[in-house]
Amino acid sequence: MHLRMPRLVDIQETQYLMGSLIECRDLIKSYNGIKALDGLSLSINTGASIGLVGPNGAGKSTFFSLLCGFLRATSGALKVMGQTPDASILKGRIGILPQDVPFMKGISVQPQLLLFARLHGFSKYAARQEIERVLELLNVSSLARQFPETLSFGQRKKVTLAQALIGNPELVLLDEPTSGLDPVAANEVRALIQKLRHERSFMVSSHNLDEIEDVCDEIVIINKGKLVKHCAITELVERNNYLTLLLNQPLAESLRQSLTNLPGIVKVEPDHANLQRISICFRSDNPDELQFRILELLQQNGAGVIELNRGTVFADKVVELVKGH
Amino acid sequence: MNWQRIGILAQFDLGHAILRLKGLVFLIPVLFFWYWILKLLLDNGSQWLVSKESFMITAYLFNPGIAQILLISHPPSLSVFFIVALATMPFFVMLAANDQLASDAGRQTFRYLLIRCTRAEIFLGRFISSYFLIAIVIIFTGILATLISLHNDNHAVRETLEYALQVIALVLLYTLPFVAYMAVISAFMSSALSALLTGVIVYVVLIILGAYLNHYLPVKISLVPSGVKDYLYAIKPDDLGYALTGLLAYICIYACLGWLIFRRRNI
Repeated sequence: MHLRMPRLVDIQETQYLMGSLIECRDLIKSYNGIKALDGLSLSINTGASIGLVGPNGAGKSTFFSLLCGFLRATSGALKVMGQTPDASILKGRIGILPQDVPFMKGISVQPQLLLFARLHGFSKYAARQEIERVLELLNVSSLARQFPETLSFGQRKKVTLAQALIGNPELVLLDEPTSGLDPVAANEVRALIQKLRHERSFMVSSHNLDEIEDVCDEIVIINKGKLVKHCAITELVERNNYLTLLLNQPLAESLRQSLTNLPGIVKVEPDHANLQRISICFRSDNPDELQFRILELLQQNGAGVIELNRGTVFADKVVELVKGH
Repeated sequence: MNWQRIGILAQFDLGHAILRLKGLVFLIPVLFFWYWILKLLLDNGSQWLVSKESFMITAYLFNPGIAQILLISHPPSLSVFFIVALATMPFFVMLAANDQLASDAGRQTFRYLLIRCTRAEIFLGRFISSYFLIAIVIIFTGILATLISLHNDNHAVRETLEYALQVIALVLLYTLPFVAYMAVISAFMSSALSALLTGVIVYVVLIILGAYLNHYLPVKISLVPSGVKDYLYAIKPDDLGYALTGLLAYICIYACLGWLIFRRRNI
């Protein structure tokens, strides 16, 4: 347990734009002198779906905990929807799927969800309807009468996600929403986020970068508690003029030169983390033909293609950014 | 502060305490204990209570004046309930109120509440539900003691009922600072068991420390609310005023301390 006196710098309300969802400045959170967040400054606007990415221990869960008021910042300023995280007016406007936090033991799922719905201000009858709605969204209505401790990990995750959606909160924070789920369930959850993301803001923390690319508009990359990059995902993924190939062997320098010499090729960049992966930037009116010529040249030189993607691979860019930090 | 949310929290916690370990740890021993005490009173206690031996023992424990008030001026069965309730209350409150905040903070289940209500609402909701659980038992056993008194003691019905109301109200008041004391302990512990053990140990340490300080200080002080107990027995306006002021001070100090700890706690 940590008891710390927070030293929060007040950010003037007037500094927030009307659409500001999250605003933090020089945010520091230390645990026994170790900084989980180290001067994080960030501004996120309402309506966006944000992917929060970073290696283990980067400070993602800590950031979520600060947003919800579970933890108190050591120093710095943090406002959510223009309010400090513990403001009464903010209660019920944020939903969270925390990582590995159990429900209360010995009480079945339904009364716990009813309590949460009642705290949102629903009447007893409306609360019942609301929990039926969220459980149906996740296809887990049958689990309502079970005790949390009897549920499987995946079932618990779905019920917890249902809990996060009670009362249609304006901001939903999802910490590893699909980890531990079977592929079918994971796809269902992704589809649900896709469906709901137009109605509210989502912030998704995940190590699954394909998932982030699928469900988010923006990405926030943090490492060692510091902001590495905050931008639109489209900024990181160059769709039109790139080909990314995974070869069965590292690209030989002579072959790289040959590829570069092909008409329309601007540059050939090997991935330093994985020498079998290359990105090819091109300018061509006929990219399909150019693609055919590239594959032909690789085949002639004995280089097999395991995977080919049009555009740069988002995951590679993220890894590159984290490593470069 | 949203009182509706506080009410919902308290109602939920109280409703489920009865069926969970949290409540049973308190309810089973307290009900067995009172069953035994009340059965003793019903069977043969009342005759003994009005005997010279009981008067002498009570006079030895308190003083002849208080013995007179408790056993002769008032219905003795209710006085026994009063004495026993005040004497055992710290222990039973520790059983009932040790898990106001500890285990849910330790297991982080408060996170589901904290996005829907403030820390102050959680703190108050848990405080109220713990207090109500104890209050229900006090009122229930108090009513049983009143019925026994009406059956056994030779006092007028009106007088017995008035005394019963006074006794139950005083026991209820006396309980409050102990619930606040356990709120402090529970606010910085992470499990019910550790809160219970710490509560007992700190309480004993405070009693010893108070006794040690009293040995050297010119004025009598008490670091725990049981110090005001002797002023409650007499049920005289002056003593009551002193006792109630003391109880109020303990409630304020403990509750504020508990709130300050819980407010800054990482959940």
